Amino acid sequence: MQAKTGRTGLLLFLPSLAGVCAFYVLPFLSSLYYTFTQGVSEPRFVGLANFRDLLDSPVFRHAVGNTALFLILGVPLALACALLLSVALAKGSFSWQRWALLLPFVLPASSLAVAWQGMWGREALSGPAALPLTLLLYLLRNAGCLSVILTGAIRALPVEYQESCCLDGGGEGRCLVHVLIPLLSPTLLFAGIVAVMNYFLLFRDVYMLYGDSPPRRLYMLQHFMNSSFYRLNYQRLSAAAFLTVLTLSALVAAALLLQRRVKRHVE
Amino acid sequence: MWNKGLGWKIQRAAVSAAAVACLVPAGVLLFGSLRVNGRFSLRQYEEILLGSKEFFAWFWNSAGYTAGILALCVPVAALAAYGLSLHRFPGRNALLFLYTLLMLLPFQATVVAQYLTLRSLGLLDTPAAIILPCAFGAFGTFLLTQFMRGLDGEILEAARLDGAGGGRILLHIVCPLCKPAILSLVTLQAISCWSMVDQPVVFLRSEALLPLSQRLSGQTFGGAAFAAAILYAVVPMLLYLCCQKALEEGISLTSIQ
Repeated sequence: MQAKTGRTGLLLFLPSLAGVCAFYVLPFLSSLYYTFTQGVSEPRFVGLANFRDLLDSPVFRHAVGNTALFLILGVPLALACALLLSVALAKGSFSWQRWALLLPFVLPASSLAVAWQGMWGREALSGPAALPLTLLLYLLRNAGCLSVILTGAIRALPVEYQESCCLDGGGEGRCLVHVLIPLLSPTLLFAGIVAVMNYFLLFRDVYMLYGDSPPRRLYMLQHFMNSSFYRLNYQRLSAAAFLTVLTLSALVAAALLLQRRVKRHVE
Repeated sequence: MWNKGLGWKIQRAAVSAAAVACLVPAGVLLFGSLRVNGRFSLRQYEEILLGSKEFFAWFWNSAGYTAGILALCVPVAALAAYGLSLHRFPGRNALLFLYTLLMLLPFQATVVAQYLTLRSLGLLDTPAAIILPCAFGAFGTFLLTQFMRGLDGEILEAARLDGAGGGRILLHIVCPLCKPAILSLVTLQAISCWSMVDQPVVFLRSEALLPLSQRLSGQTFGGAAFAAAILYAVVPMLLYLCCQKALEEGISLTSIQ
């Protein structure tokens, strides 16, 4: 019985697995072959030379630096805004406010780009304010979505925690730091991963605003990959993609492990 | 208790202020779309709705891609999630990790992979180049698996003991129970497909095949861009009006607990 249901499970899973393998996993593995070769017509094996070239490339370093800078600034900021919003949202109904907070998440990137240009003007968007304005766009797009996750988690907490907080006479700030944040840490960790993923989705907005050549500070990893793609430099692109996948896998695995440990600790 | 204090009033005001800030872009679009040369006018809408053939061609492309992706993605994801969450087989956890990772990867990390497959299948510059990779994306399976793991296994066991086969259990028990999650998936996936930009840039060459999401800009529609942006945003906004709850539940579901 057990064995049979096991086989059925795998069978049901097959269509999806076939598609995922055909479009993501297998060609990705075969594209890894590119990362160790050079030359277009007669590829020859060059070992790690592509990776060395990539890491030496100033454009790649610039793109990685910009991505890291944006993540370091944007993710904590978005999480903090979302957490503060959720603390209030969890206590009331806030019907129109909740609707409005998710609206920027729903708007198509192209429509939002038209609005954004109308709000700030082309000059401001390409001047020194480009980075702060894009951070603001990121916050606008994500604070609502992240606060939905956190509000749900706060509401799922046992009532006793809030009560004990009130009875202790501590202010709400202390309650937030000493009770809520530790209890929510597994969810916060996951919300952090979502925030990182949504940073990559922000490329759509940046692309609709600036096309292939954004201001210097907004040149993202994806711009680098797109330009390698246009120049048919698959070797460089595959090496960059491989490093991205490796970094993100490590990040996700670490986050999931940490989440499990934190959860055990909280319980 | 704390609900009545001054702190609560400040919190309410702060949430309302943030909500108003989130309404600004849509407001700017609406306001901008109703003005021509500083005066109130419906000329922009007239120009788009009556004068622009391209707008409709690209609009229907977007609609077609979204519909195609949903039509494929939902059944595939439902089957896979049912297999993954309610059956035990070796490698299950590894697959779940693979799907979680795939869901998080930016498009550009897998672009070469998708490009190679589409090229060898001869599908580049066809609608299938947009629909197939998205339809087999990991997100749908991930979301429904998250939901189905929370289902009560005893109901299914009881149905099995009553002699119901796997197909009947899926159609008559699991699917009805999963309706809210499927609605969440449809809403989230539709919103994301409607906003597609990266894929058409790389996989399509013919102007006639492009979705509006990639063409909508001031350069294309000139003075009528605001009206075009509003008309394009109406679809996801209507969907959001109808399915706000499903959308919120879908977002909460993605949270791995």
